[in-house]
Amino acid sequence: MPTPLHECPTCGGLRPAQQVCPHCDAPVARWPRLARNLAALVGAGAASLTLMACYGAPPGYYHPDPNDGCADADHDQVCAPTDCNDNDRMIYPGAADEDGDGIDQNCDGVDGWADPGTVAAPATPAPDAATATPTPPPAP
Amino acid sequence: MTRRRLDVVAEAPHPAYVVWELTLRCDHACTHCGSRAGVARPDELDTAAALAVVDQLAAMRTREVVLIGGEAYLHDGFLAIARALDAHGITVAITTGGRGITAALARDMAAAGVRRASVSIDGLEAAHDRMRHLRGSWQAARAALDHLRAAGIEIASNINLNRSNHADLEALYPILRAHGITGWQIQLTAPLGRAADRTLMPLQPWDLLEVVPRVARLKAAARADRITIMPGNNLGYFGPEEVALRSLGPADRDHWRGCQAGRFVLGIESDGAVKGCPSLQTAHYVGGHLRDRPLRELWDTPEVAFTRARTVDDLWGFCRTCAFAEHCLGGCSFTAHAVLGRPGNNPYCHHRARTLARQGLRERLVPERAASGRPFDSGTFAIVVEPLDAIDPDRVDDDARLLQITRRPEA
Repeated sequence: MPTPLHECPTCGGLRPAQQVCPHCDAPVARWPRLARNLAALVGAGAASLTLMACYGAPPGYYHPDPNDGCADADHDQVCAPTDCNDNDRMIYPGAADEDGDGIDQNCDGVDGWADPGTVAAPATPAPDAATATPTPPPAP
Repeated sequence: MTRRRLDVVAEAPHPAYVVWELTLRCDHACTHCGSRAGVARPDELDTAAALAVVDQLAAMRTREVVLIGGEAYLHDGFLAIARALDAHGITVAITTGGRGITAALARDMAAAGVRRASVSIDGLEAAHDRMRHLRGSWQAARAALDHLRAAGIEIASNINLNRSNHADLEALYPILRAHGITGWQIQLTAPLGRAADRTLMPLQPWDLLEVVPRVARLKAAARADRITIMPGNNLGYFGPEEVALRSLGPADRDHWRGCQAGRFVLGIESDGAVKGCPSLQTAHYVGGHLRDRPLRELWDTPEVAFTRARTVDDLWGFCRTCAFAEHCLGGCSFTAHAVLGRPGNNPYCHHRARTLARQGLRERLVPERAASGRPFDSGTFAIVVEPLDAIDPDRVDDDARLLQITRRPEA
């Protein structure tokens, strides 16, 4: 299996580990959004994808299955508690998070994007990390 | 996790997602059609033979089958085959131009177990009808969406993006939304089949610099409408928008993981020919025919299973040296083959176009060898590297000219 790609803490694009970001030239990050990357890796499977084919039909809107223990009251396709506000469908991990509006839209624990330098490596992922809230960073 | 999303490392290869051409007979003759559909193949599987294939798919753990043509509904056994798939617990979908879908047929389809339908709508009315040389096609496709939805079938749409229609993308979205689609597949018109004869039609690689971010913006906006936009396999690759483009839900961190043809995807042609993906070139990637051998044997033939052992060493050109090579493995196989005559080096790549653009360069595809004139054929192109701001000799203002034959097929 190839070495997992990391999200660039500067531009959000994927980049190979230990390489300068090919999108924005950001230098190698010591902890490149480690919490998010680990949570995604454990929660979504190591190498998951949606099967597609030209001439095929696209998947429809993804309805999380309540039989899998998923609560998704705002129908934003993210289950609580990974969704830090399950009553607002514009708030979920990965959402655009405008800095300065006082709202943590992307569920990283702060308003705006968390400073990658302050993101702590989480302890051993919980067994139920598939639905766990990513470890919030300490306050800057 | 939906049935279409799986872990490609944890799962052993099996035909989880199958696209099955029931007949090449079609009520359209699209200028971009990779299979050159219109007339039935000479030796198509009849209903009894097709039902036997259904049993084999079920035995190999197939999750979803998309019935296509030509037009799948022009096969005599269309509803019986859908019913049999549904009885096995396989999700049944169709991809269609929609011209012949009446309210009655839509109800029959729903009763037979068809769960989802993707109607091809390639732009606003003028562009769509022009690509089919058929006035009224766009209106018929929209009517089909309404009939299908009224029958209780989940509706989706798909678009082939090329130079004649990509400007319509944003204007088309609210029209599709108003019909009630839940999914939209956006893919590139590759120079395959009839599109291989029309070399001004496909995008040039540097067009991706503009197109990919537009698709990503549409996808982000569509989430609020509960519509999933997914790129086709030949659109994207490791630009800054890769995760957003490729993920199904916002919590997913998916990205392109190499061509899945013959790993988890299977294509069946209407005469029983088996390929790893429905779009692959028939002359190079058919492992055999279901009349002669069982699917379980055909699945492991080298022609079908060619991606399972693919490594970076199989890549060449830019893709061989790319930072994402071990993840990407050259992008879409049939698209790369349709351009350069073999897979492993794919100029239709957003990361590649961005990398060249940062150097002030771009790649322009120049037609070389013509296609054969048979279904799922392709010719070749040469790559010319030139300044990003060079005059584009293929740029024409007349959209109709973009669809004219510029490279006659050999047959």
